[in-house]
Amino acid sequence: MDDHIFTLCLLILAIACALSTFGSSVALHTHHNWATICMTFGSLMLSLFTLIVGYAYLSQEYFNNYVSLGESWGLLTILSLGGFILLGIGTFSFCARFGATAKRIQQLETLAAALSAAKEHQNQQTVPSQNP
Amino acid sequence: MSYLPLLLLFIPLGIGLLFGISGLLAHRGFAFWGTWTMLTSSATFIISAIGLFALSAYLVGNPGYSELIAYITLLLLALSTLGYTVGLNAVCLRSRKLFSQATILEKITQDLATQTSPNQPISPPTQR
Repeated sequence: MDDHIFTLCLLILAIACALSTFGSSVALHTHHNWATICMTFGSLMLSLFTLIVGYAYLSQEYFNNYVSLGESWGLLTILSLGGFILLGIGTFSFCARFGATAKRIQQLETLAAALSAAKEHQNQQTVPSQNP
Repeated sequence: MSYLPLLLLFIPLGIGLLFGISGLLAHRGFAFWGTWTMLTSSATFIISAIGLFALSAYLVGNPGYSELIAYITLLLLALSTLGYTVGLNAVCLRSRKLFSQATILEKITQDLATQTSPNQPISPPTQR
């Protein structure tokens, strides 16, 4: 049963990494700044982590023959922790900017409505002066 | 003393809090299903991290712990990560529309402000 659950966890993580990479690449295409670059790098590191763990899980001899256990765990820790931290910092900044932009849109809509009303008022005042 | 339980608590808890605050910031500006997904997923992530900590603390004291609960906790962590990325993906896709809308609105507002200023009247000059 544990094999099935571990495989399921790996599959879910792989889908999550693919989604995260797609979303961060879309965000990078829209806004090219340090936050989106952090998000993209974090997603790529997590994808690499998932690929390595999946490959090691599928071929059990990987850890025993080719890479020593200490180096593997070090690499996996750096990839997973670094990926999560980079993704978290990038997401934090991106979401803060997203929320601020949404609030600014509301303010701008109010301002545009007020300016439109002022323009209408100005038009109504100007038209009688043209035709006395 | 083993530091593994503390590491297992603080690292996922910190990451979950960072994700939760990010979702909250996005939700305060523009609330839709993506931000709701981000918030619920980060809450699940934090709860799973606390559960994992409790399990690992129990594991140190008692080797004969229930493996099933540990696997369910791991599954919850993976599922909450998936939910968070789905919400983040929705926010990233929505941000394209939102940022372009903000740019257009800024230009419209600037034009309106220029037209309604007293120095530059919008109506043509009166013929004398």
